[in-house]
Amino acid sequence: MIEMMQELLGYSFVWRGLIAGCCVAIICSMLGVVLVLRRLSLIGDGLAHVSFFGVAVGLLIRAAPVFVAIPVVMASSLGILKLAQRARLYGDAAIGMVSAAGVAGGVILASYGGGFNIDIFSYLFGNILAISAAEMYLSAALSAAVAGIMMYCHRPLLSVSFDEEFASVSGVNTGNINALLALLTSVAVVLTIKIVGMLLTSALVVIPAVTAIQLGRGFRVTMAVAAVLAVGSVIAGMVLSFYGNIPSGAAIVLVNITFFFLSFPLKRFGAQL
Amino acid sequence: MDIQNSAIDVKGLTVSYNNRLALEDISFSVDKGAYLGLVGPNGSGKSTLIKAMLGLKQSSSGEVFFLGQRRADFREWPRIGYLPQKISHFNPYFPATVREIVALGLLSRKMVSGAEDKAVEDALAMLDIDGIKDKLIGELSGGQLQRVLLARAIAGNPEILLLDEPTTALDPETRERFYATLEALNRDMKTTVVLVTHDIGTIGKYASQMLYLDKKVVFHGGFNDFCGSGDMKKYFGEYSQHVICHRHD
Repeated sequence: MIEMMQELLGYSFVWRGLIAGCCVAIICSMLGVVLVLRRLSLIGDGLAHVSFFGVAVGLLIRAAPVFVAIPVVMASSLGILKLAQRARLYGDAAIGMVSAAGVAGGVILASYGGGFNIDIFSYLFGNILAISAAEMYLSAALSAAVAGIMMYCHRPLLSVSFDEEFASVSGVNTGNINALLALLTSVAVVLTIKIVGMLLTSALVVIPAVTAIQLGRGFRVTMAVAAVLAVGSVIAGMVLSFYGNIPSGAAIVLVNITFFFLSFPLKRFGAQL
Repeated sequence: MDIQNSAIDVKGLTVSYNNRLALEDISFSVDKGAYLGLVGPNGSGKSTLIKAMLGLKQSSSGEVFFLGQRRADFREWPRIGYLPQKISHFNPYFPATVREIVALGLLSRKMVSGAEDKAVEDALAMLDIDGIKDKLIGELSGGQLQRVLLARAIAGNPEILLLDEPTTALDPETRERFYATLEALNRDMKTTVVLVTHDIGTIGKYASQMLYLDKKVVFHGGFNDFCGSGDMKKYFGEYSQHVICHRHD
């Protein structure tokens, strides 16, 4: 086993994937706890679909797709909030509309720029082993910023998640907190598409969070548990991917699903943290 | 109306939904340190009034003043405590502890960690729930949950406490203890209490001011005036005079 790990860590592309994957997994899972508790789990999925459009724009204009996708997804996330307020839609309906518009726009752009269809597949299904050094640094820096903001704002986030009316009466600007949450989720989603792919992004947001909610005693503890589980799933998923010769994104998601089902017997035997 | 000496002043507040009036031209004031009983039939707009006062529901006209300041300019939210009838979208699996929830009442107090811990401990001790501080919110009974939410509302020692039918889910014994705590806050800390309730026995025991609402203000004044008003039977039924006004008999 040690020899196996030594062999694995001997490759620089594995290191890059591990560092980027762990950083992104931490912020996705922390945000996931808040999103799941606020019944906004599907926003990760919706924004991942919108990122398809952002990536397509990036490939069409020959710019770095991630740099184009981040502002596009951020604007869309704020659009979802506005749409839900203005059109008096439930959040899931607004997410559905914006994500459908994103996919439609992406498909049209992909059909115009026929030459980048192969590139776009790497964003649809992800490839953690193909992370470049620049992408690794970008993931680490943006993840540090998102995690720092989450820790600084964790109490307003808790207040808004538990009881939005009370949060408002106790002086929390709930509109700003909701916008902040949407923007941070946008960054996390775009960073995740290279790790597990657009189609599986929401898994890295939702599954570690729901597993941690089974086991955590306290809001901060639950966020920490989710982060540990997510990092564990990235490491185990990469090992599985490397030696089992299976797609890395799918391997990470399957490890997360396994953790979720293991949480039930653990909880039953009183293993809460 | 002397706004500076009032805890709450409401002037001409009107709220409508889909062109239907929910509250029409509501004006009243609550003295500092008063215990106001806010009563009225179902659908009379009691909860809407509390939410409109706090800015949780939009009003089409009118103004609200808290402690002499217009609500739009009011920034001292820790001076106001609010206990809703129920938490909308309450999630019984929410992984927060009692201590974390009560500390939310101190969010805008900007206290150092030690002082905050003490304020949380004090609020829990006052409501006799310090033994459950490490429990998860979903592990509590209805009565315990309501006391935790009251602890959250009073943790910052607010000068005004607004409570919207806070005891609907409580058994009679827990309800009595809940009201006794409220009375102690009003008597000892001079907290202004506004209590929305259908529990006319409680009103009779504790209220110093009354507001009877039926989309409009039907009665607003002192408790004794309310008891002396001839409309009592019309509001609450044949034997209401005895039930509500017994402390003055």
